[in-house]
Amino acid sequence: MIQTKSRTRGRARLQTLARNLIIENPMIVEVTRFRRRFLTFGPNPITNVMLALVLVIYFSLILVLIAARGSIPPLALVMGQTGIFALAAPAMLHSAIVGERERRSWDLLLVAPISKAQIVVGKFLGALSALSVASFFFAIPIALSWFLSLGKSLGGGSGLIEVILGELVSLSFTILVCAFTMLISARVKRSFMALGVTLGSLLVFLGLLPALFGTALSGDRIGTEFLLLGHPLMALNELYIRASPYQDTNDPLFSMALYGLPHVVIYSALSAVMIGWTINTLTFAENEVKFLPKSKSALRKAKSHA
Amino acid sequence: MLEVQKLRKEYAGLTAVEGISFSLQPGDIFGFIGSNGAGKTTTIRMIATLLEPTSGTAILNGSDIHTDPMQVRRMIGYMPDFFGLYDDVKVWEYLDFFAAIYEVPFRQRAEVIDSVLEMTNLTVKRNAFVQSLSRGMQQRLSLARCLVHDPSLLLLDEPASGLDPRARAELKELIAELGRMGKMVIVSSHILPELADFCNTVGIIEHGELLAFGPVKEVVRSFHPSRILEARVITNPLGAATLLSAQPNVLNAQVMSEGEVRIDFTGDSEAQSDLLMLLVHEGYRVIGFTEQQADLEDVFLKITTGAVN
Repeated sequence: MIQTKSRTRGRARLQTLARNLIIENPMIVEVTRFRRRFLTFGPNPITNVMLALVLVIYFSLILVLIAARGSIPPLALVMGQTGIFALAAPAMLHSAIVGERERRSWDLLLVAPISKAQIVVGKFLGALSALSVASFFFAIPIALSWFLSLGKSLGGGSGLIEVILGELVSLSFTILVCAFTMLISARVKRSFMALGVTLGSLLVFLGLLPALFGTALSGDRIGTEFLLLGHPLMALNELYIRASPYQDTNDPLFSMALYGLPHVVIYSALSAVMIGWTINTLTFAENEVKFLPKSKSALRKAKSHA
Repeated sequence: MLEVQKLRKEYAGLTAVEGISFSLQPGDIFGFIGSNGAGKTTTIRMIATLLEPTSGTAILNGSDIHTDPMQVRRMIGYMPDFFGLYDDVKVWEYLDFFAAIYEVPFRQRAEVIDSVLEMTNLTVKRNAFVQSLSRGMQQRLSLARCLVHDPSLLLLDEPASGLDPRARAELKELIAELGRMGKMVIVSSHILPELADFCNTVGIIEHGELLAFGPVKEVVRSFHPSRILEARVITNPLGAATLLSAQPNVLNAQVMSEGEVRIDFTGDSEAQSDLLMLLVHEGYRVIGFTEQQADLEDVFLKITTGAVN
């Protein structure tokens, strides 16, 4: 009886949360803004040129896939998608919050009867909507590549389960990059700083550190893989190898429990943590003056000095 | 009704606002006057729940900015001294967005948007992109945004800055109309004669302290108990000044330029008439005898020193 009551209460709370943050969240207008800014031809010539370029590359890719007749494995495309999305997400989202501060429209949101969670989730959903459209368009060449590779003996990267798992890893990692970009955008004072910090962090975590580990632990495969367990490209690479017909299935490092689903779960959990952190970061506009809060001792020092 | 009680704001040892108190009734248009850095914007931002006061509070229609900020936000329209507009949305979308934020029911939004656009004379720009609007239009759009949820208090921080004379006149008329609609309006501005035109209450702030508060006429009278008269005579203005200086109710009379005599006078209208009669009777050929109205600018210059925080 008590269990049923608490379950009903929990469900009601979830419904309220979903209504506030998603269904009735006025910040959902961000979806329209993202669509207009990045996915439609409009008054901005830079957007128009970029969009035209993306379309040309996209249709060229499809033509190349058809011409290659199934010799390009779909997981290779998933890897490419991951790289592109990891760069596109910061480019699209870096000014989500800091841009509002620069434009000075931030005050207008803070003075409105809207919660910080609604602001952050609304902006996040705007980015996700753009991402979902992009991933839908990317899914077409990936599916085409998989279809064309049917019955062909490729070196790897063409098994359906691995492709789906790879796609999930790629998307969940992109969501994590979006959440990370939002967090940085909430904590810095200038848009270009947000972009620089986000791209710099990605470079360090996806490029420099793996290269460093690889060099330091050269020859120690287990050690290297353990340290790079969270790396999305490592996970995709393992899935790629797993789909190879030449793969030794007795290799203990090939467990599905190590690559694929755990990454999706970890990236999703980290995304939730970062969104929560972003919400927590947004305090009174007073922070515009000195946004990154100083330590208590530094504040005391400043006061006594004054 | 708005009650501001001993509102105070300190920033790391610097006192930006020093215990300001005042109250406003529905329909009051309150002109907030002060030099740059005097504490006007800080006060307005505290009432708008954007800044947390160090001490003191403001209560709007029974809701306290400390204990019920969300309810206060529903009742205020805040127009900062910058536009803060989104470039990539259309005028109606911008208003619709804020109407949604302020919980205007979906079915009423179109009607509300049409009505605020009409009030701010922006109906023809309904489908234009915000970035394509002129400065004056953007200012009016900001005001329209403040009105979508029918607030009882409007906080307008330097609303006329950067506007051309025509746009200023339109804005002035609009604010006066809002006052007639029963809304409380707090307007901060440097353009003092304009404020005197449509404000029924003024407050002069300097160094975070409210030096004067009350109806415009009372504030002017309290700081200018004497009146200034100007007499223009064709011949011998020095003699006229000497004659006037000797009269009761005349504190001082001096020749200014080209036959103009400035009289610092404390008498009533009858005594003023007697002065004119005396001049004529004594053979001075008077071609003008008028009272110079003391205005807000005089009061402001008289009681402030120009000090800033």
